[in-house]
Amino acid sequence: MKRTSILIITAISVLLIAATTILFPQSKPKFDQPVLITSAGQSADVTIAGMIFKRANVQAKAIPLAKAADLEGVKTLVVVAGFSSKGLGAAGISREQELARVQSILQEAREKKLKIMTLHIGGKARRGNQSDDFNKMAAEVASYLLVVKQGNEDQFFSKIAAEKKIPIDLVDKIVDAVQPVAKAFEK
Amino acid sequence: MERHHITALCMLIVIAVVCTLAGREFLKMYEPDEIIPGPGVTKVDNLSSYSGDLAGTISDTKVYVLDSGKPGATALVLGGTHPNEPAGFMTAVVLTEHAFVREGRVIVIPQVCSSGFTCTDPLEGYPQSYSIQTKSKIRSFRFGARGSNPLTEWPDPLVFLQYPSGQQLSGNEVRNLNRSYPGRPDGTVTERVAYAVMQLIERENVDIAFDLHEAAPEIPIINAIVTHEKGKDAAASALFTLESENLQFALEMSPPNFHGLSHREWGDRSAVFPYLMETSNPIQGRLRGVTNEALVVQGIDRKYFEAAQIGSMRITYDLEGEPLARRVGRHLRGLQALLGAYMESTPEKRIVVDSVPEYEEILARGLGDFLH
Amino acid sequence: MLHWTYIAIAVFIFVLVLRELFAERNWRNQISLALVLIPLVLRILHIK
Repeated sequence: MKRTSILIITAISVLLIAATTILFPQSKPKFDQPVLITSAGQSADVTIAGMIFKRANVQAKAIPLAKAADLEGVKTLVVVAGFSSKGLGAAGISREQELARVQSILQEAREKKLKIMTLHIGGKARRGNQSDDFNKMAAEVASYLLVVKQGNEDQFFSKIAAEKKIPIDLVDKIVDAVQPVAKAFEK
Repeated sequence: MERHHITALCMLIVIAVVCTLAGREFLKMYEPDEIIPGPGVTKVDNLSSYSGDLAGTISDTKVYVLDSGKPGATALVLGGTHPNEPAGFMTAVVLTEHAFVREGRVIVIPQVCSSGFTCTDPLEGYPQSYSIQTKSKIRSFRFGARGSNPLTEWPDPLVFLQYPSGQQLSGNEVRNLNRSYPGRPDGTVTERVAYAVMQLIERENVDIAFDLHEAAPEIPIINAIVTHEKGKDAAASALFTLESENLQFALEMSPPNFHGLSHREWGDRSAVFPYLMETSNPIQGRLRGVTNEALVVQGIDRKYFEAAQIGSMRITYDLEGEPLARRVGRHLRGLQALLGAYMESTPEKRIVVDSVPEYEEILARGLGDFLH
Repeated sequence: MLHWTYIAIAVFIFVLVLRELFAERNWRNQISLALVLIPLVLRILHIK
């Protein structure tokens, strides 16, 4: 009798564990404030990301050209990926300089063991040759990926997520990104 | 008289006939387009009221004022900065003929670069005009060139030194109105037009201004709102609204070191919040096939469809193409959303424009339904 | 000023080509000269 109940309990636990792994393949990490939002590619999507965080009631400081030093005291780094030639012109830097800056801030964030949330909200306009270097760079090191579906029609981000075992959320519209952001910062 | 003199005389007659026929065609471009002020228009003025020496030239143009009589914000809408981008011009025409302002004031200049409407760009094979069927008749509108008519300010310099920044651009850009701001009263004709627009913004205390454009489907900045940094929050907010209506717009920042552009110079030199909007116009593209009136109005081009299918195009391009009605619809909705966002950020300055067709409405009923 | 200089140059070239047209004996070559004259006329008259 005793053996049977132990067996039953073990069986149920195994099933439950299996079920949770199937239902929640990669548990989403929880993020903490303070938050620094930066760009990877200098598109104006960083402004839109600021609006998303505002609507999600998460305090965040946006510095499109943030450097490694700006990570002081920051607990979460949000990277908004997507290239814009107008944006680079506005920042007065070259694409190479921007690639180097992004690389160095991501490196620093990883060394500091900060959580990195990568957002891709610009759809097709922020894909293609010029953008994808930035997209790849920012996506591969993320602890969580939040992508507007239009930018993932070729599964670019899903593939990275699967390969690197990064939890990913795909939303239909930019507005739909507000809720997952709010949820990620829930206490 | 020798035989070859007779053939030379015959040649002269042929030359006269060809010049007369071609000249008549070219001169047709000087006949102004008919724009019929709608019930919302309270005053029709000329741009030369703001910079006198434009008066009587082909660079002077009509300014339509739609005043509610109630206090509020003043908006300026420019169409035809580049006359080969018809959605900007037609959006301004729809506003002039159809809109009604309930609060605040809207000033519309449908053909701000009016001399550019008197010719087309060489080697492009562009049609001289396109027609739209309205409720009462078929109306024809001129399809112009990108810049001012070269006859107004020949010759173009080899290198265009933008005033006052000194920025160097290729010579033909000297006739590009959207590289000529803030302009100067004694400069080239294009600079004088730019100067008049700046004067208008100052004198009329314009709060928010729109410069409506189009671009080739393959260039990165299409279906976009370009904003000066001071207007970026309102632009982001407008983008949210537009997206909830399934209208995707990309947000682009105006580069501070690229001079002469409306969104840069208006914003830097006046209190106005400037926005530039772009739609996707296949007739401007390098991949386009047959270049005719149908391509202006229906925007259907098989070459672009093929390019989209093999993944060369980052925009959605389907068999429905990019019809003028859709492009005008996008501009109108973008404009309304930005006005809404402006009011959110500046609640004491209201501006409400009625009778502006909704995006879906203009797609379903066609552009002609909103013209006289 | 530059504008009128341009017109003067165009008129000068027009006269030169016109003289050539009458001096030319081969009618095929006269056609090519005629093709040069057409845009010059339109430009001098400020049509295009």
